[in-house]
Amino acid sequence: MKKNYKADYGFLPEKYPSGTHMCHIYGSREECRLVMSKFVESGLLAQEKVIYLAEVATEAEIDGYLEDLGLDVSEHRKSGQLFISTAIKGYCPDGRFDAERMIKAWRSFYKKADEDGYTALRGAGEPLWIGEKVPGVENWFRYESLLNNLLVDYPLSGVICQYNASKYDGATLFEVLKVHPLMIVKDQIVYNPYYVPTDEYLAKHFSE
Amino acid sequence: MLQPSDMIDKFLVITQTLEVIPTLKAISEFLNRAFNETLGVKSVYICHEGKLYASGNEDIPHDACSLCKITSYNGSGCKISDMYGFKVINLRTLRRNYGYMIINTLNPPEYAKYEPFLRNTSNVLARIIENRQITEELNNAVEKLHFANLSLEVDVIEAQKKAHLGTFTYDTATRQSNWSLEMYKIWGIDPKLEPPVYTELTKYTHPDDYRRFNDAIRASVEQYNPYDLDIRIFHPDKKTEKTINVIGEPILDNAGKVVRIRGSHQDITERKKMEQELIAKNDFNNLIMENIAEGLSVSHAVEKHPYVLFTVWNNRMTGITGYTVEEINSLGWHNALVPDIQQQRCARERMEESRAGDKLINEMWEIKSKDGQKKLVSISTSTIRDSESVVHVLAIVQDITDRKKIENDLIRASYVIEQSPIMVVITNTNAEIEYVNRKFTDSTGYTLNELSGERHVIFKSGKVTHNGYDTMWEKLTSGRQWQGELNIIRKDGKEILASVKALPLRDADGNVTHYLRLSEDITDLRRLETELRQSQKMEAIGQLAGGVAHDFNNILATIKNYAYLLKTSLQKEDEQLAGFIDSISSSVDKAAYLTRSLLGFSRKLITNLRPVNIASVVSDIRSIFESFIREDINVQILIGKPEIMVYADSVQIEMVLINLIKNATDAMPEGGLLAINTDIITIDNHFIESHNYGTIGDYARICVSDNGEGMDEATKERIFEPFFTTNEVSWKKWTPK
Repeated sequence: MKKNYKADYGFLPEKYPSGTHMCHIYGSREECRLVMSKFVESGLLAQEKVIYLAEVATEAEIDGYLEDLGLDVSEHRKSGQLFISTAIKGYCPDGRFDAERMIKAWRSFYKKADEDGYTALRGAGEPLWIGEKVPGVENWFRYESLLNNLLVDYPLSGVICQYNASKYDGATLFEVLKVHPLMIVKDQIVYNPYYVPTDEYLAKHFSE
Repeated sequence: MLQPSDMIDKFLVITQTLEVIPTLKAISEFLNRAFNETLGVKSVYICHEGKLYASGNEDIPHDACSLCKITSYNGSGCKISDMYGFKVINLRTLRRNYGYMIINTLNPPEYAKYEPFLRNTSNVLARIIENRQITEELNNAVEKLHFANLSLEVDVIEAQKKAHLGTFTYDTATRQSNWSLEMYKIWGIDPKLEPPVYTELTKYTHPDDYRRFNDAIRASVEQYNPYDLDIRIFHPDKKTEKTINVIGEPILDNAGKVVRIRGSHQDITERKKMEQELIAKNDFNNLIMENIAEGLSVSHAVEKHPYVLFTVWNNRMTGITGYTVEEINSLGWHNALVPDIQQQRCARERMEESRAGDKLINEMWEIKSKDGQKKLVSISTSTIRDSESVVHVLAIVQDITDRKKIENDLIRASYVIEQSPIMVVITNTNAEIEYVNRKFTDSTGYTLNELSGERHVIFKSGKVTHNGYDTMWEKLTSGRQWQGELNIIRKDGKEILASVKALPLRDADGNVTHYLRLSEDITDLRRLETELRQSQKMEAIGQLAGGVAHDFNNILATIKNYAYLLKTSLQKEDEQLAGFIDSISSSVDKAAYLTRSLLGFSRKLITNLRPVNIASVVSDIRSIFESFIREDINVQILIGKPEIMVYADSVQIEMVLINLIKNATDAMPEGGLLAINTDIITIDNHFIESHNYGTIGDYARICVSDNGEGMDEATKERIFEPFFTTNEVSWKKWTPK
């Protein structure tokens, strides 16, 4: 993969350097669809490997979901450039969430994409399931925070974590801010002043 | 302390995040965490519309904490105001205050450092709340509008379905049409298909209507003329024929060119059918209306002259008034028919009252017809309200001029008959009484009710033979009149004599329907006639007697004197001759008495009237008649009052009494009772009615009665005749043998 690669996210005129970890707290489905469709579409156009863990309940709903996003990506799915799965299956393949396993999976995805000749790897997901009593869910924000360290060594061109503001309480939403150095606010990516660096965050919240 | 750039970034992120957090509870939780971890604020509460939103707590309804002017909050029961270090910031926009953001800081001096941050955040939060409220109101409004539109669309579809009315727009440039669902149904075309072009539609139009339809559309496009016409169409299956109303209106662009035609097609097949039935029915109704014998009109009020407009005015109305409907509407009914101003005012008022619902029922109006004749009409009205609530007055008018004249004649005739001095009886052909006038009821004592339906036979006295009645009925039933006299029995049993004229009454066809009997009570007349005859007879006798009595008395005096001289000249032995002379003298005395009586009848006798006590006269007369009364007769004299004074000639009374006594003794050849009574009686009306004579007052009465053989009717009728006597036999007794 190219060093100093700058990614086009589709919904902004500027390109951003690899290793960007952003949260997108959205208030409407339209807002979510606009960002995500552009993000996936621009990644595919840039010959990046795109991994998208969509907030749908079953695999069968994915086509409809993509259609809703306005994406005709059947070819990309066939070629494997676009890997799309349900969020719960992607994050919790065995019914439980394991932060280390997820970090390890990203490393594998990154290496595979590199091997497959993609210009970069970008990922997106919407962990709506964290509001449920899924085993290991308490480590979600630890995973989000660890992801920042991962991106230093495995600079994905962009990672967007979408959070539907109506699905989470206020405290969770503020917790989201603490683990994402950047956030998408409307059609901008802004520096998140509430971001807490990984070591500090983990030390404060996840120290033994 | 927050650095400006840091402050701006945090403010930006917080406020942008608040924008997407949907609930105030989540916002309070978010701010609570954000301010706690970044500003050292212990907790944040949001007070909005009677609820307190706080992290970790339920949204707590509260009436008014002292901070936000509404009392208490707190799960532990204490008031927020009692807690230390609270700062309250209004959630205010330019529009209004939406509540409060309550900051609980453990370190009040530090509060000043980040107060601007908090106030700015509160301003953003207030704006977010406001925007959400406005958005919610807008959404509600949009939703209502949406549902209203949906409802309207459904209503339009339903309305079109019910009205069998479809709508269309026709684009003149593309020649494409847009049809509503009902249009397809009207034309019988599958709604899945595109609307046909109008040239195709004309193929399904009735040949007789095709040109009109085509011309109308062409004129609409080329001359901007709207069209509205009824045409007949066929469904594509050629089996169904319909009548539809097509309406089109050209829509022009800014350049004045027709760009579209919009309009509607309505299936009016049923309506047309009903209209035709109605027309047929109306024709029939008009036929009836024009041929009824009474005048019929329908009118309603209009604002200008003639103020009342007649929409129906049948032939009979023209016949009665002489005016046609055009003339009456041109002149105004009141001017034409009621020219007298005073009457006109009354007539117009009555017409107004009629329109207001006060029905005229057989009200009689005098109108002036076109030829100037005054006519009496009977008017009855009722009101009809049409679909536009206009009140129409329906009037039925009858010309009653002739009828009224006949009625008046009848009333007069009936009055005359009722007041007639002649008894009038009308019976049916079975002789059952249907009418009697007042004179009849007065004369007979019966009332009309008592007589109604009774046969005439109840008046029969029996004095008329059956043959007599038979003759009368024979004449009547053969259509002739009968005239004669009948005795009628009154209700009280008394009898009256009537002169009767009976005649048959005929109807217009000459059939005998009733009998009329005109009777005149001639009882009094006949009695008076008898009395008159008696009076005349007496007068004749009196005149005769008066004329000869004086000379006759002189002759008698001569005879008596010579008889006396002759008797004095006789010898004693001539006793037989002396008896003869005595007979002559006695006969002369009787002749003299007779002569005096004749003079009395002729009222030429000089009477000596003076006060006389009748009781004394009767008492004194006993000595007179005792000398000649027989011993087998018992005489009883009863004096009712000792003094009964009258103004009379006592000699004449004595003569009357002696005559009566003598007659009585003659009537009792075998002896008997002779009674003489005197008393005072009073003659009153009852007496006069019963006896048909007399004058009201007190009178002396002398009754002479016997129990002899009595008198037959013939004798009774003649007893007051002068010189009448039944004593020829006894007279002969005195005749010398």
